[in-house]
Amino acid sequence: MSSMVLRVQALGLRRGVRGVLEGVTFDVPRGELVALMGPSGSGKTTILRAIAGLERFQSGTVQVEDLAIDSGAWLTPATVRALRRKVGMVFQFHHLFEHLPAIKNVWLAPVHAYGVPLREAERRARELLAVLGVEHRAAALPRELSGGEAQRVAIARALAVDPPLLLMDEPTASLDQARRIELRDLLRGLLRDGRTLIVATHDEEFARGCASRVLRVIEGRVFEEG
Amino acid sequence: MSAQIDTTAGYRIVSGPKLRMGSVGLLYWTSRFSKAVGGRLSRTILSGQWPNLKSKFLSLAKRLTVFLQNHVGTLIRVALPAIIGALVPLSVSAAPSERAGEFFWAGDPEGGAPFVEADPAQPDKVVGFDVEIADLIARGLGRKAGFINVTFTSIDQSIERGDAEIGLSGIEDTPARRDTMAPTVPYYQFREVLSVRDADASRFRTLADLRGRRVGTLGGTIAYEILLRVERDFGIQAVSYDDDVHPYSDLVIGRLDAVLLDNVLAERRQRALRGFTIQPQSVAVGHYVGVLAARNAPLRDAIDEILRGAMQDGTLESIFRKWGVWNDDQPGLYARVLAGEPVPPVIGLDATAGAAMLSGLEATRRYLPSLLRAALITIVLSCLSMGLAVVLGVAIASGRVYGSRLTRALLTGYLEIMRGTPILLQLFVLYYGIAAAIRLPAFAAALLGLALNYAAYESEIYRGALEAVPTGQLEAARILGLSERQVLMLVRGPQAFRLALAPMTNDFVALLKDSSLVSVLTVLELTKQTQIFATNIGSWVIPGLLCAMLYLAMSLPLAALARRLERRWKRATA
Repeated sequence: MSSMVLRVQALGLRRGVRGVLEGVTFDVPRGELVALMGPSGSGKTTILRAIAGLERFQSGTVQVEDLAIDSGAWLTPATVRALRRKVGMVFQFHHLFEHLPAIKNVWLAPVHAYGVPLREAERRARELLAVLGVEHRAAALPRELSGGEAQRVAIARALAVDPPLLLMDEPTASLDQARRIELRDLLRGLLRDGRTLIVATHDEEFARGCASRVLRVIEGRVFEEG
Repeated sequence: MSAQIDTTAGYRIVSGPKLRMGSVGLLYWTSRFSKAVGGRLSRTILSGQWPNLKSKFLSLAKRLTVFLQNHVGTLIRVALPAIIGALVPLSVSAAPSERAGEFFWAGDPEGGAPFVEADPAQPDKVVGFDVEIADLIARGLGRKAGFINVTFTSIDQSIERGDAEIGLSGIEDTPARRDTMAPTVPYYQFREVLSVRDADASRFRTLADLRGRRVGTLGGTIAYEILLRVERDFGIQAVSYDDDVHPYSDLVIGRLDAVLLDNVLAERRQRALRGFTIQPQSVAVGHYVGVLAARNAPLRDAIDEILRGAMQDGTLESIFRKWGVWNDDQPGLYARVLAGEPVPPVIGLDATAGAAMLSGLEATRRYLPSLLRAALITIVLSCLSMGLAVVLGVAIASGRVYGSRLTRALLTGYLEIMRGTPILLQLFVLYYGIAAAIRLPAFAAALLGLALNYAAYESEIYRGALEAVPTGQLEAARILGLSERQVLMLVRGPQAFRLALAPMTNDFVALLKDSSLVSVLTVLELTKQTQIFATNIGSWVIPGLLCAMLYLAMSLPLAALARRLERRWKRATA
């Protein structure tokens, strides 16, 4: 198996007649943090969604570890299941489950999708919340959390299922300067643990502070930055 | 004032009062419009321009929209008074004061021949011996008879509030009516008779033989009163019907073991339906009277004179002979009436024990247990129906959101049928309509009928709620590796349920009240029991108040519970 966690080949995506992505090609080796940078509407989020299997694309392939997804046909449930175990995602607006307290947001998937015993999943969830510094908010409902807290719970939720590849969409959007620095340190920690991350952001300073590589997204095309 | 409208169609419509102008105008414009549209449509079809039809329709619709936009003001000024003008004469014509000189009488054509029935030759006219007696009385008063259609069980109330002067529809002379109304002298004597299936003719001869059996009758009648008494003495199960046809059909198919009703009704039914025998021994003897409001006693006295005259000169006899119900019981009755002897309302039933003789407090004490029992039936029935409706509703909503095209189409069809037809009709079909194939017990039919109907409404609430859960929530769940089923069970469903709670509570309260409709299936729930109570004591005041209090006692805690849950979940959701 190659050391590449992700290979994107000539990815093309249209919505109606409008081309959103065109010939997007890049690789991400294991243990790297790649930043996708570009103005709003350039296609950053769509690239992440296509990798996560949330968007259907018309041409090209996406390969995560040994799992290749071709354009065209709908994904079979088995492929989707396999993909979900490899790719995690933290959404820009977090999308925490509104009806569940923070801790349950974190252990829901391990228990129900991965069959982890409840006690074990709960212990691990508490650990993750502690690592992210929001353990004291475990019982709070999403609407009671601040933007920064919700961000951390969302990251904990994504890490709880331990995906080899973690996608993050605009993680700094809801954070002030101090919180950004905290998040940068947090991501560096994740990298040290051997995780692979792709972060879509238009926050130049943040990207330079933590990314090992920066890709520019301009009007649906990706350019490697030297 | 009088106005004339000249129409371009070449005929003239003359209208009297100014109010009617609107209705004529409206009719005129409606006919013009339908002619224009119909003409264009048929020309298009005949000339083979089918493919053009859609574009024609669209252009017509567009032009209509433009027309409406340009003429909103005019329409409000002209059309609204026209509609009101069309409706007012309709409502006014029903009030007796409009046409003085007419003698208004109330009856129920659903009772059918020989009392009052819609004339098979002219369905907007009524015929029957009560119709002829009404004519006879009107003639005697020098007036013209005018018929008003009132549900049998509401005739007393309708007379009391002045919709008509007299009620005539095989109305029984009862102690309660003598107490609260002004009934005429009895004009016909009938016998309460038992009908049983042919096979049981030798073993069920009297009420005493029917221990533990189900005996049906028409609610709010002397026969029902008799059954309630023997319910205590012989352990008979009294079953109350809203009409006098279904007791006999239910008897024949085995839902009942006997029917107790007037010989007139029993004999009539025997002509149409085979399979049951009328026992010769009568259970009690009663009389038909006309019923007037107590304040109309002077009019009643005049009517009594007319009836006595008709007894003497044989007019009544010839009417009853014509309808095939004259028998040897009548001359005796007429002799007593003409001799001025008192005729007890019911012979064979201890009248002093009647509810009409009781004080309000005593009557309440006596009826409260049965009202509470009926309330229990109402709440149990409502809860079970709602439970089933929720389960079915969830299934339908899931099918409509997740199902294949065929599933969606079938479920939509079900939904539209259940929402688009009256629940009363659905209950009738379920209980009587399919009785030949599946004989559901009354309670089961009621439960199923309410549940099937409400499931349609619930499913729409759930579908709306499911679709209102933000896509982001679903994507977040999917990306974590939850299957579609788990997404529904763990994320989408719970969130949708919180959204659906308020409209669901609303529906449950509505169901609680709609459950009163199942009395047509002989289920004795709260409203029906109240009606019986009111009929027996001859007043709606105490029964109505008790009934309202019981309904509120059931619905208010529920609403409070729902509000509390909602508040708690509001805190839980952003």
